[in-house]
Amino acid sequence: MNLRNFLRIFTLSLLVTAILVLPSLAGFPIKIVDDRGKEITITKKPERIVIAGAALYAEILVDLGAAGRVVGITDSADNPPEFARTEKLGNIFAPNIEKIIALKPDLVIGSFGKPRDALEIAGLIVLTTPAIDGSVDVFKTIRSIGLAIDGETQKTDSLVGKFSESIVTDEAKVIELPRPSVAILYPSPESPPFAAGASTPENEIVLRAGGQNSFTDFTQYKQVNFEEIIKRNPDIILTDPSQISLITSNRFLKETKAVKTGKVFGVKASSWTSSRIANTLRGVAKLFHPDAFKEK
Amino acid sequence: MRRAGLSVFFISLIALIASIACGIAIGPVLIPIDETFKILFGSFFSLTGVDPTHALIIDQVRLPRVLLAALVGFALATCGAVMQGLFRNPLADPYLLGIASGATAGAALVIILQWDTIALALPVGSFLGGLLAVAMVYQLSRGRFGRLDNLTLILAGVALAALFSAVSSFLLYVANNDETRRIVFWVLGGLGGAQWSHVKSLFFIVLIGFTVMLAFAREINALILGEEMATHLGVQPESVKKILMLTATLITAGAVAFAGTIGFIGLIIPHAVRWIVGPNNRILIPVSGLCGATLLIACDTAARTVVQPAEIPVGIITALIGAPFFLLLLKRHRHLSAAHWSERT
Repeated sequence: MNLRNFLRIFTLSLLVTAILVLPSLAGFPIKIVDDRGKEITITKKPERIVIAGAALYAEILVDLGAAGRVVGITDSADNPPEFARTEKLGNIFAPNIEKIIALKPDLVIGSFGKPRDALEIAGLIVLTTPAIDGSVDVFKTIRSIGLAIDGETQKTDSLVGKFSESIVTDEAKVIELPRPSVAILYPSPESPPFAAGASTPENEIVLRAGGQNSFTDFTQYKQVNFEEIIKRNPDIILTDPSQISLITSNRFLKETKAVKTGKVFGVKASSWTSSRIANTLRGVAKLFHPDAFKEK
Repeated sequence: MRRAGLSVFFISLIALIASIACGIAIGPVLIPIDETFKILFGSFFSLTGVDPTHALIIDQVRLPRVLLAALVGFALATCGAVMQGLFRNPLADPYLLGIASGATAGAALVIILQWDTIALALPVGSFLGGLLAVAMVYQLSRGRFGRLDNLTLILAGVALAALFSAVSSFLLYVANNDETRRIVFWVLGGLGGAQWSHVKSLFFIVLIGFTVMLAFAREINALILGEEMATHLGVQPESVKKILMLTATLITAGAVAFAGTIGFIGLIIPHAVRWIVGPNNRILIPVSGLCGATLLIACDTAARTVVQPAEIPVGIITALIGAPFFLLLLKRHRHLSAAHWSERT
């Protein structure tokens, strides 16, 4: 293991440790800083929780064993099956404010924009965590949510510990292996696809899973033209499972090595920022280096 | 004619009051009518038998939302009537001079600069964006001796709307995920999340604007006869146009700032009302306002109840109800509508 690789694994461990040694508050009231930098105070242990945001929050509540305390949830295709019978509250962008208030929740998680203002005016406590750019953010989110619903972080710390251990173990398996070039593309039928660039969750996981993102010369998600994709000729293309056929049938992308060798794989777009980010990483690493995971 | 106009005015006033009552009574959460009454007029009744959660829903969710819908509908319909009169153009609507795209660019900029966490920064930003767009249109269209040419105004409005849309698209392009989400959210607009502070701010803007419009109703009537004719009647077309454009811009920008762009109300209501009460702006403007408020409350009530728990963007409903209704009127009054604009231009 060369020094650079060692440093990369070391940093993750360090960051996780840093998260874990953040002041471990115990008991309510609890103060948590939200995505606006505002301090949210939760006065008592929330028994009635409403999820009015990303499916990530729903996953975290399941992982923390708090699914039973959720009394309402906004629609998302990625919500875990545990919430199939939970009262639905409409779209994330326009949740049904009346219904949320009528559910008398102690805590609303994930709401933003005008609906959040309206809920706060109605006297509800709303907690939304900062946007997620990578695994460390996922862990921070898990910790904030755990703190908010239980007043302590024992469960979250063991969860985060488990996840990061799994990540570091998998990373060690593939770190010395030759890196395939990988493009993460989100195509649309007619126009050029969007590619995930540097400082995206996709980029981080691809790197940790022993791949090399073909598009690191820009940040965030940018539309890239077909010429450029053909020129960079990725070994592997990752996309959302629903979009695989758009890639394999595209007359320009057909020219890439990935399509020619049948290495176009689906990774659910939501799983890059899921609380099961460690599973995502293992899945992706297996796609890149099937042999490294064969032993035993 | 005058008496007919007056009775139409009272009928639309009653319709508005009825729609406000329905809007408050109907919602995803079932609240009994008698309880709703007790909550609304709490100080006159005893508050026994009132669920505090229901009181919260009526006081903080439904009432501000219905009143905001009324104000926005009123604002858009009156501005539409004034714009159609000023420009003598049946296709004129409140967004004619690029307010909507200016407001969107303003809101997007506020979000990119991360100022949207400051209270009221978003509505203020979009308000200023709308004003800036119209100010630019206005400056560009000023000919010699400060003369404002209608065709130039409309064309400049279209061109600047395109320019500001490009600015918004660019801001959307450079935005990160979180900002993109918030910009899209703003563009979707709608009346969900209405607050009392919004209602109060918009009420004052609409009140002032409406007073000015009504005070100039006679001058708009003269302008419809043509600018030359208006000058003979002692009306100064340029100053009247300036004042009324500024007023309509202020009101529309206010409506857009709190509810996003809602189509059709400003276009169809003045037409429909004109067919009923005739072209006299003294009656046309207030009745348009009342009908616009009524229609938007009805559409918004449908928007939040038809597919509950979800909500449909209210613009879809206004288009769904508005477009066929408009076509029906158009078919019945075809001869009238043709005569309406031709005999006076």
